[in-house]
Amino acid sequence: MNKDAVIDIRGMTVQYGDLTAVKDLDMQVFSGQVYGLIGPNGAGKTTTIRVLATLQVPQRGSVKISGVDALQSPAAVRPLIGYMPDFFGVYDSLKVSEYLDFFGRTYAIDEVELKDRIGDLLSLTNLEAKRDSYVEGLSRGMKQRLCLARALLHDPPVLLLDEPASGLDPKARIEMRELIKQLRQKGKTILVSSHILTELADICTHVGMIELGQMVVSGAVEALLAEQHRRRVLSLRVRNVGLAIQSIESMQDAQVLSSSEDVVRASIEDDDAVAEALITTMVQAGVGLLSASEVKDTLESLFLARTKGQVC
Amino acid sequence: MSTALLTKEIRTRMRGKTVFILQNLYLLLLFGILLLMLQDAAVGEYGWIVGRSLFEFILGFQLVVLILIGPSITASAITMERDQRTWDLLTSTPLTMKRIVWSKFVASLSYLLVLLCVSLPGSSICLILGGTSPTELLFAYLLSALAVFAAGAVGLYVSSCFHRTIASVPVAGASILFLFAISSILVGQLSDAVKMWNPLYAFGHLTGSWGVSWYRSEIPFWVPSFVLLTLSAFALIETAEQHAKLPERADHRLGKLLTFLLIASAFLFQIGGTYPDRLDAGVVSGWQLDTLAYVMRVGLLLMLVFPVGIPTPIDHDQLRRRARRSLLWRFFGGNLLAGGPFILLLSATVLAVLWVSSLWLPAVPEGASQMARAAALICAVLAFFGSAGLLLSFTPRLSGRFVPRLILGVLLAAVLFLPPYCVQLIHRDDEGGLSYSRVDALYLMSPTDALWYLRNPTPYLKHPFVKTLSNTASITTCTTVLYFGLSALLLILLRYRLRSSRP
Repeated sequence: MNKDAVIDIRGMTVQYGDLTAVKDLDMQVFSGQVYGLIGPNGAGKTTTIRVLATLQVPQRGSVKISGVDALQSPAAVRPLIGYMPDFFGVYDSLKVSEYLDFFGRTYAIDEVELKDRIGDLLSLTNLEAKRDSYVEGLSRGMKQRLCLARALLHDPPVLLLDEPASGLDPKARIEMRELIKQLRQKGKTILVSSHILTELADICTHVGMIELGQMVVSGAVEALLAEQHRRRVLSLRVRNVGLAIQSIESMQDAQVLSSSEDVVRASIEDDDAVAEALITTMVQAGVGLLSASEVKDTLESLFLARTKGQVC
Repeated sequence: MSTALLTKEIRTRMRGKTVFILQNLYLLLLFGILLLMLQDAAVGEYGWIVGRSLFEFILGFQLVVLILIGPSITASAITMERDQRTWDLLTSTPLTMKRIVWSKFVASLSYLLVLLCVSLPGSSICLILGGTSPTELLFAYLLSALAVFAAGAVGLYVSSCFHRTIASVPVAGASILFLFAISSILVGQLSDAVKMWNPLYAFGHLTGSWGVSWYRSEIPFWVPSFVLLTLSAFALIETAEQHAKLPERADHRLGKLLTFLLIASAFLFQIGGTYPDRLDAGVVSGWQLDTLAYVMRVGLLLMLVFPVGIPTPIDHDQLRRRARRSLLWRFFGGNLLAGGPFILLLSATVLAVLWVSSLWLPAVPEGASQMARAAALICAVLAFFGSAGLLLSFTPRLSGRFVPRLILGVLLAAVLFLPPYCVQLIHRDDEGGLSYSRVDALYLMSPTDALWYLRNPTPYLKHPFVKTLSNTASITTCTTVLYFGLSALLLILLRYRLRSSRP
């Protein structure tokens, strides 16, 4: 096992009764990486993060954080992680500073140090003005930032952020993204999950794509995109989707990635001649081609190319 | 305990107007009653009578109110965190589950302890008037605190079993009513130990005027009450803690030990409190059989309790898997095998203590055939419960959820233990006999009564069928056969269930 991996998951399987949420998952995240866990709803992202946060026990496999076994010694792992769940509540009858003070004390942080740290975190999360406000009076975005401040209170080396921007308006999303970038600069190892790919594109150094509880692809964003360069993703708007799929499948160098009511996405070799041949074939087949555009090399195109969009 | 969590809990609970208003309303009510009683009373030469009445009324009233309020407050201790979606955040901190559960429990009780403390000045008026002593007052407050502790533990236990406060609070209220009111009326008639467990009885006998003779040495009534209430509270809190943990990390060893100590203490108080007097009067024969009947009564209740998951939940998934593999598990019933050692250990300990005590108690041994018939009956009843438990494990809708299991357990208990008493109440005639009734057949369903008839004639049963069983031993045999038959029926159902559940 690699000793340098801060998060090291090997052969993890989690079941809920007859449903297998995560199956033989292997995942390594190294120090300083921002690792994006990508997948559709129900793919097993939250389950994976809950296991890392010691809130769930897998049926099989091993889980280590900074070399400490999270299954055997959950108490030793908890000070090493800062966990922000996807859905969370706050103690409404507490003030912002009291809320942070309570969680700080559960980590046995020295009183004077805790006071300073609360000040710093309120400043980082832009909540200084709300220090003496009741938590119930905060907006959704502010509550998310407060929860992130709570996760950072004990200065953990590892952050587990489950859908940190879910339910936020565009401005709050940008703020959250900037906050994560700042944390990356501070050298934190961050595991962040999301099903909104554009959210992760800017902030992640590495990504893992998870589908049906299995890791489909994992690696550095740049390396994966470079690999993706060898293929091109086309988005085709057509009148007859069934016929369009038949036309694409009839070609050797093309494959269907996904289809909706009037759009078919196809992956082809990165060659203009192949693209031209595909469009010609479709026109000749009479699919009613309305438009054809190339999907740029983004996490989105990578995700579409590597997954089938299935959920458990 | 975690001071951080304790501070947070007290801060959130005590903040706001509601608590302030409730506390003052409580005080107004208490002192209003006090003033009314003082106004009408003839203070002076007979002041001590007024003092005594005040002491009994105020502390009795306070005890009842706090016992009723306690569980409803602690019932939200864990569920409120789940409702607010803060449970995950709390359990992902370095706080251990023991510290979380105890801190939340003590913080919930702190509200009640404040109510208890604010009534002290009013109660101390009794000391001025007379009729009570500072020691008695101290004991009364200690008992009240302990009763609040035990009643609160019931609420905490319920809170650990539910996910929503809206469900846990009414269940906790109903549980406390059942435990302290209904159980004392129904089961208290049969068992002194149940009365001893009830703090209201203990309060009534606080002065020590009515003692329990425990192996020829008189001890005040409150001593067994203190022991039983403390043990039951600790057992419930420990079980609540294990319920709150992830199932894979739960460790029920301490809970089992505490439950064992609780039941063993109840036995010893029950038996020790009953036999010496009856033996002295020369009216008892076969105390071993009666002891066995008590062991069996609790054993049966445990067998009921095992399927419902209190206090030592059985892993029904494991039972199911084993039953699919092993003929032995399938035949004897996994529930019996899982719960059997615990009951055997309990029975062996109690019987060992009794046998040792028989060195100075004039025991009258019964015949070997009676003991053999009693053993056969016990086997039949345990087989029935074992099969029922295993069958239950194949129905995840029942075995995997607390409330259906609890309801099923209570229904089974009601079917087995209540009919005989209903029959007796309804059909007993002036001469003390029972007239013919269709319900009479149900009489045979009560295993403890069947055991009783091993050595007590039943001249009043007039059912033509039962008449032929006028030999008292035959009634026991009849019940034994009935239970073996029911077990066989359950095993047939189990076989069918196993076939249909195979992948």
